[in-house]
Amino acid sequence: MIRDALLIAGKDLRLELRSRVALNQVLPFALLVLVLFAFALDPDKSVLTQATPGLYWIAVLFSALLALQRSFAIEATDGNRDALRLSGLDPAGIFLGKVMAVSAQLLVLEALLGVGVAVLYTSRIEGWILLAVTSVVATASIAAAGTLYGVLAAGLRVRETLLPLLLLPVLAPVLIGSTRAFEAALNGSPSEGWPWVGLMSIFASLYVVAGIFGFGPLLEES
Amino acid sequence: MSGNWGYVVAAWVIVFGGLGTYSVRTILRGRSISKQVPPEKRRWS
Amino acid sequence: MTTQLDAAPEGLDSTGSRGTRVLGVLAIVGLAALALFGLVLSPPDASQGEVVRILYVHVPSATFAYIGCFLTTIGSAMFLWRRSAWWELVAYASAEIATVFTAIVLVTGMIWGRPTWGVFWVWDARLTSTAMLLLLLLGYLAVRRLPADHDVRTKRSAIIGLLLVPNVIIVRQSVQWWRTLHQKPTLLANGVGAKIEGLMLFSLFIGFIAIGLVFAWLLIHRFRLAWLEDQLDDAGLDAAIAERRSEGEPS
Repeated sequence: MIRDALLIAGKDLRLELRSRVALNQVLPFALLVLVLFAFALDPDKSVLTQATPGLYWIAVLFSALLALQRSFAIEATDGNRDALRLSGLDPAGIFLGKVMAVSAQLLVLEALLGVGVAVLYTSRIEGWILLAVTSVVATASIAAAGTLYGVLAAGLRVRETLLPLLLLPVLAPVLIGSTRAFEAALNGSPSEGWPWVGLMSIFASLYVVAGIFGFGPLLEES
Repeated sequence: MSGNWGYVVAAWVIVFGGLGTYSVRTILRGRSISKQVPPEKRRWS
Repeated sequence: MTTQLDAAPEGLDSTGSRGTRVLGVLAIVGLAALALFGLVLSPPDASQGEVVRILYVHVPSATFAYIGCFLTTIGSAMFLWRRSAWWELVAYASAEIATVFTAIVLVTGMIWGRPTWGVFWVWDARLTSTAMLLLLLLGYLAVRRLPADHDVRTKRSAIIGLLLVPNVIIVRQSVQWWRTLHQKPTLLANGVGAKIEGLMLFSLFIGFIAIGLVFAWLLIHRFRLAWLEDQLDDAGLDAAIAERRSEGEPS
């Protein structure tokens, strides 16, 4: 299962390295969102600095939607879905591989977006450990739930509009948790942030387990 | 008798109206669609 | 076949049966009793005044909205586990009814909140998680009604239905945590949870029965409708082709 996962993750990441869709389209989109927030909220008042955690994670969520769409779009063409099914790879491995690949891309995006926030919103960055752990756990949550709901929407004509409707309400706890944890870290009171990391860890494990068991049947049909 | 009766009436109208509308829609749709399905496939009635 | 059916009484071309007709009459009687007790006989509340009458319909609707959600999750689980098409239809029917009830709960809750809190909406855990519940239900219905292959949409919606209650619990927990960390939930202190007794309690009790009867009646009708829709789905293509052919033929 782990070997299959690494195989799939490697394949997806190699595809990304060659096509650079996430780098050339998703990342600029995320930065654009940051700039749009500055247009919408007066940058001279301290709103931007105060709202940095929320704005940051909203930008990450929207970018994650694009990354997930991309992750399933590469399987949709040329009967790749069938090829994947016939490959004999463990469905749980395919699921984990997809989660890993999406997570890796999102983590890179988050790091660059973090630099963007620090520069554009002149936010002071503190509490590095909590920030890093929150990012990893939240990313795993987004990727796991996103991959499970992504395959639910995959292959349908309405997938672009369906995925946000299905996924965003589900990810509400992750948005709440990651934002609160970031706030706690930036305010210099990291002890308030750790319970949220715990909550998101539970969320992530739940969806990893659900994906491991649910991915097989979903991949078989259609 | 305070002005709050307005809120009460509004809420009750929404409950009864909402449920009524949904019921009527369900029934009417059931009628139109039953005509298209052979009766032996309906295990009730 | 035809003679017997031609002689059959009214209600043949509908989702009704003798059972649902009895249930329907009981539901209407229940609603009438609810209106009598809730709007006329029961006294206004000491602290809330007349507004308390909204709760006689609001609280039972909320309860049955949650029951509908549980039925959806149970039905989806049974479908995935046992391949039971019957449970799949229960899940679908109750999801749609739960959506209607949840929408009613949200709107009546806002109407109740305006005179009670002075605003239509507060970012309270209960309100927020109910709003998220509505969105999750809409997601389920969107998938169940996809213009796609029957197997595809039932299986995919069943997985969403299975995750419905767990998702609601997680969302609710996180929202509650989020709110209580910042402010104490004092707003609901004299709200839905306040102690009630006597005629008011009885009115609420009637509300549970009346709304429950409506729920059961709707569930049966919606289930049969869903069953017919499935039958039509199966037979639909053949019938449509046959119909087209007969249209073209000179009679």
